[in-house]
Amino acid sequence: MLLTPALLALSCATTDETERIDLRHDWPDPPANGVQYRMPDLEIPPYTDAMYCLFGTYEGEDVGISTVETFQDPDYGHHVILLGTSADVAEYPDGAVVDCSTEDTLDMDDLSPLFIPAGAGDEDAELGDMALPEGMAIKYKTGARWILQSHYINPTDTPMVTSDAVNVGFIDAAEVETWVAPFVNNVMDVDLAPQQETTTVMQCTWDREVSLLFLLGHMHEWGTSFSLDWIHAADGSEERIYEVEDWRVDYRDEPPVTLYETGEMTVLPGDVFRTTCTWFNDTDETMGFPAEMCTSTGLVYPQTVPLMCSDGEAG
Amino acid sequence: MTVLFLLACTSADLAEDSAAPPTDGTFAVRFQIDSDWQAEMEEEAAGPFWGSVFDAWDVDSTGPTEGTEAIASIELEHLDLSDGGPTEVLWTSEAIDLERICILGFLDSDGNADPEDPDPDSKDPVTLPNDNKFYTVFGAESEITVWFEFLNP
Repeated sequence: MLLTPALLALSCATTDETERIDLRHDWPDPPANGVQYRMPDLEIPPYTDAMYCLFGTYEGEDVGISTVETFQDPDYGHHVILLGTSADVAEYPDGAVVDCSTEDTLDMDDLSPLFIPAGAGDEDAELGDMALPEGMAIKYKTGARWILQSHYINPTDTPMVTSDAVNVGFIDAAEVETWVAPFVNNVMDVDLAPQQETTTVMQCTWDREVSLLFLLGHMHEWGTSFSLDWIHAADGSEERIYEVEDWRVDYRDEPPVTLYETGEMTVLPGDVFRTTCTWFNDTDETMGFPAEMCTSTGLVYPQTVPLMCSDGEAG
Repeated sequence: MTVLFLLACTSADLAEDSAAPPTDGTFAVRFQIDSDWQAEMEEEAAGPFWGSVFDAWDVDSTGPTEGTEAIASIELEHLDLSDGGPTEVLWTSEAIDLERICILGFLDSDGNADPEDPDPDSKDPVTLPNDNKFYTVFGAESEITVWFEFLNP
């Protein structure tokens, strides 16, 4: 469902302010060299698990993104993250707000890696926050489309009104010392028969030497376990670098993350990442992508464009 | 006499005003490749281009929806994007009566596509659907630039 700002304002205006929990805050200004993307006022009805997506297009000069700081009410907000998107501007125009609570309303195919939210590495960091090491940045080109995704759970009997924001800090492209980009190893051929367990194994071979800043796994609600093994080309040895034995429903949006210091984790040409995903499809229908997913992802450097591996040697 | 003259003018104007508005337009197509993706290529960004024109409303983020057929094809013997582009106008469409089109195709930079059934292989530059949708200006020719911003995995 596409909600225009006018409709949102109308729906807000018809509600008595005194009967709403106001979760709007005065968020900090964006960095001097940066922008703030802010959701319009959104009303979260009582007893609702709601997720909304705001669409926009970056129209400034090509720059590097060095920091991302998200702002959301700490008591009722679940997460707010900034994502890239290839969604059609005619279908999702700038400024449009979409109810993206279910996969039906926004296809995962429309999401693309702008940055992978992972937290800044300290205990106060929010899921969508990012602070890259000095001199590093992710390329942000004019015309790039973005989504601000905001997830709230309202367990009360009173409507809530929210207005989340994200501050994005830039570095001039000429001042970036090392470009950083996402890697995405993704199984497209997900085929989960009803009422049974399925395991898929995917292998992706690195064709270059890059270092990782962090990595994480991604599945949806029917995932049960996830692991990632690093197979070294030099001697064939393997090591498990990421494992979730009991995948939880909330890991869909907030998975465990493995963080690396600069230079700590470097893959070489010929090295392989083997991703293993297991699901239990308890429905009566066969399930495929994008209802379920199996993805290993993270940020690597030095790298300018995303590194994509689809299906690899899936088996 | 003056009255008759005025009447004649009025009739002519009315005839012009009632002419049907244009219902189609044409496209003059240039080509360009993103410099970062070009830097990822293992060979020169040049070679045959194989492409198709679709009704944009039948194309989603991953390509044409099932059963969709192209309304036109674009075949260029040699598309040279070694300087990144944009090129000169290299292809002009016939009149198109669709509201919006999408141009999908690939640059066969390693020159190994089968002309009978051309498909991109690894590292061929490809066009992404939502970068390459264009509105038709009815009654006019629109200059557009087909944009490569991905290499086939």
